[in-house]
Amino acid sequence: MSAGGSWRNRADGYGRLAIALHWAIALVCIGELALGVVMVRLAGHAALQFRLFQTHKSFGFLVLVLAALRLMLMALERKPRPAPTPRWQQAAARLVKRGLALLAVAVPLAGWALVSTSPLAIASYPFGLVVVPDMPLPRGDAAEALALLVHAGLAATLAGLAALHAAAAWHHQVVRRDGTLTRMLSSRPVAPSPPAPRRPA
Amino acid sequence: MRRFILALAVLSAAPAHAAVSLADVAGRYALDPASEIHFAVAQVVGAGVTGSFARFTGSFDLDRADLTRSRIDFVLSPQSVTTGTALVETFLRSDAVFDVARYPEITFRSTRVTQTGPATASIDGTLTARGVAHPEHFDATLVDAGGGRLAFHVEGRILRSPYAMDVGTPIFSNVVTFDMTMIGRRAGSPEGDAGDGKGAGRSP
Repeated sequence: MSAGGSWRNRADGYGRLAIALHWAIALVCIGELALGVVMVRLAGHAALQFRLFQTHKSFGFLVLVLAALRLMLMALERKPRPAPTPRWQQAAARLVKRGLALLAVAVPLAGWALVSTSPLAIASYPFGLVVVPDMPLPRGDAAEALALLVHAGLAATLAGLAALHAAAAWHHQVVRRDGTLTRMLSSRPVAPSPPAPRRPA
Repeated sequence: MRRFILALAVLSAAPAHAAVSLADVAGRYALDPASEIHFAVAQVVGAGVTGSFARFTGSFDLDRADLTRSRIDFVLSPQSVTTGTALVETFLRSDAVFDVARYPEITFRSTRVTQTGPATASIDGTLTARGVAHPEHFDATLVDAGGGRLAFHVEGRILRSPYAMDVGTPIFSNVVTFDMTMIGRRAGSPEGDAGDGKGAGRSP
């Protein structure tokens, strides 16, 4: 995101747009996961719980928009060349990234379905800006329970994959020092730092 | 007051009751449990929350000489709210809205009654809910009279925010619309107060 970079992806790194979307989605998703876990455990604080549910819905729709943009961008943009790692690691990284990109869309979609099947029928009015209509789904306890299962299950999968993805990035940065994390921090081409000297085990 | 009496006479004529005179209608009435307290809160889209209150007590005194000196007292049990959805009722009773554990009663006391038409009156008073007393206004229309019984259709729009009950805005409107049928049964009649309270609603 520094001055020297470009908006588009290049062979040796990500463009500003991809970087901005990546971190915006990551930050909001982390917040949403935490909020989702906390808000369902506030039975004794009904007003706060109501507000947090609506906040969770607002940011969920934000994630949906950002993640849909990111999916489109991934389809349109070139991919920077993979980190110099064994092929199985490149394949695993690609799989995890695709999974994350899809789940970032699927989890809020399932949340939208959950809202749409809830017998409470509380309207979606993200950030008080625009009314989002409910999906045409049957409303009822059974449909709501199913949507909740899918929403929470997909969210847990997203959290697991994100942890894997972050651990791999951390490994690249700290152990391999190949600039894989840095290229998602800045669109300026970064020369990879020399590999870490092997320490005796 | 004369127009009011006229309205009473007109209304009472329809069900073929004897013409109502001021002597007949002035006095103290206890709120009948058959009264209905309906409310609605609109939602930004789709159905809002509608419900009613089952338990309340109250009385109105129609002043013989000066209608403006009439008094209306009303006590409502928010615990008795029904909406058709248990989750919504639990939410309304919780500290998010009514906080019935700390504030088991909502009260209204009139401060001024003004006749606005042959059968209509404007009621100003103080509504106390959740520990907050705030001036409110209702419009009443006399819809039935006779046999020691008066029925009013009462409407009002109450903002939730002064009572710190505005949870859910702006999805749910800050305005609660009340649609009520208030039935009074003559109490404290010349025969004495023996019947007073019999017609009152169950105690909250």
